[in-house]
Amino acid sequence: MRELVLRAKTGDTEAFGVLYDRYLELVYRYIYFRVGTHAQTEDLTSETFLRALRSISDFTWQGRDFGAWLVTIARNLVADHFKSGRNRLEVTTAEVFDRPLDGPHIPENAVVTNMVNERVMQAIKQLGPEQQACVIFRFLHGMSLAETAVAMGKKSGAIKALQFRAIKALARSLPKDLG
Amino acid sequence: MSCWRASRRLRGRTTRGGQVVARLSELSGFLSGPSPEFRAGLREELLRTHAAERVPASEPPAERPQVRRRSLFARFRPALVFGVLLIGMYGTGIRTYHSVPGEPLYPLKRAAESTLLSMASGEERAQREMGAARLRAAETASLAAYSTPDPSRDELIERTLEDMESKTRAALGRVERHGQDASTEAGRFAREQRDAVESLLPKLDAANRKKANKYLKYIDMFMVPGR
Repeated sequence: MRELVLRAKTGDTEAFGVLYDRYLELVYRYIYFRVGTHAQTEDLTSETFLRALRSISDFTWQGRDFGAWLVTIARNLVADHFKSGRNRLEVTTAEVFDRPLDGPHIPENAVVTNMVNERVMQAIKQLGPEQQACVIFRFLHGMSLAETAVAMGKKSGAIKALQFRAIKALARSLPKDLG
Repeated sequence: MSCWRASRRLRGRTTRGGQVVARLSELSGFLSGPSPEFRAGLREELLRTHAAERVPASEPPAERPQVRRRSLFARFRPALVFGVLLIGMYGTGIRTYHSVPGEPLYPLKRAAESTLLSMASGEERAQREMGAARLRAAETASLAAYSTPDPSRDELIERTLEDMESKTRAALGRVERHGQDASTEAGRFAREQRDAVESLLPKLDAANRKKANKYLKYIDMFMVPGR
């Protein structure tokens, strides 16, 4: 990974392409979860990678990996996006899912599953920013404890504690009949 | 009983937490990712931008550039500079020592002399004062060596003679207080000063000649045994 980043820093276009392939999903889902629409997510994802491309020569390994650096850029862009006041509209969690929540062609159990997922998503949105990021990296993106620690610039022990508190908070806010 | 309740509470929490984790893991499969069109389109745009904006490396020279060795002068330059500075300092020191009234380095000479005098006492101070008086006589001789008359130079001679007299009186006064007689260092000093000042008389103007004669009378009185 370091070699890839170094090659990208020194002008290797293909190396940057590999980094893009590796981290697009992470950045896209992170932004999608925050803004809730494909259109805005695509804009912000494009902007994130363009900024990363232009400032990759300034990137240095300082206890955070390349993915964490990208997520930091994305986080700042999302914050600016909301501060600008253009997008105060609340996006329903229904839009986050590709599958329609109801309709005559949808089997009943799928409708129920979607309703449960919507409830879980609402609960995640109520978490604090760090707990939210931890849940997204660990469960929605499937990263390990160590990978999440590197991505967030924290120690594994801190991530473990963060995850524990996030799960507790979710368990309190979600109905007991989930499961 | 309480331990039953505690273990049941713990099991409940674990089960509940496990439920939440399971839900979160399932959620991953339902979350939307980037569309294939967007993925490919952005990749192409980024790589095009990257290729367009990078600065191409310049062609390496056909021949290996010759490694130029530093010349002998360049290698020894620091030592040369140091040597020149050292010589300069030494030369300045010599010039300061030989400077006479009216020259730029003369005040430096007098300042150094005053410092040395103030640090001495007793017999050592007397000897240093004699040394200073000898220097004043030499300075007067240098100034008087010019044949062309110059009022400003006469003024410098006058001040130098006055200083010579004050240093002489101070030195010999110290000698008398310590009860030394004319055959010692002081006696030798007095004889040398008399010879030096006597030889200056024809070269001095009237006023300075008068001063010099007054000085010689004082020296002669010191030389008289049993005074």
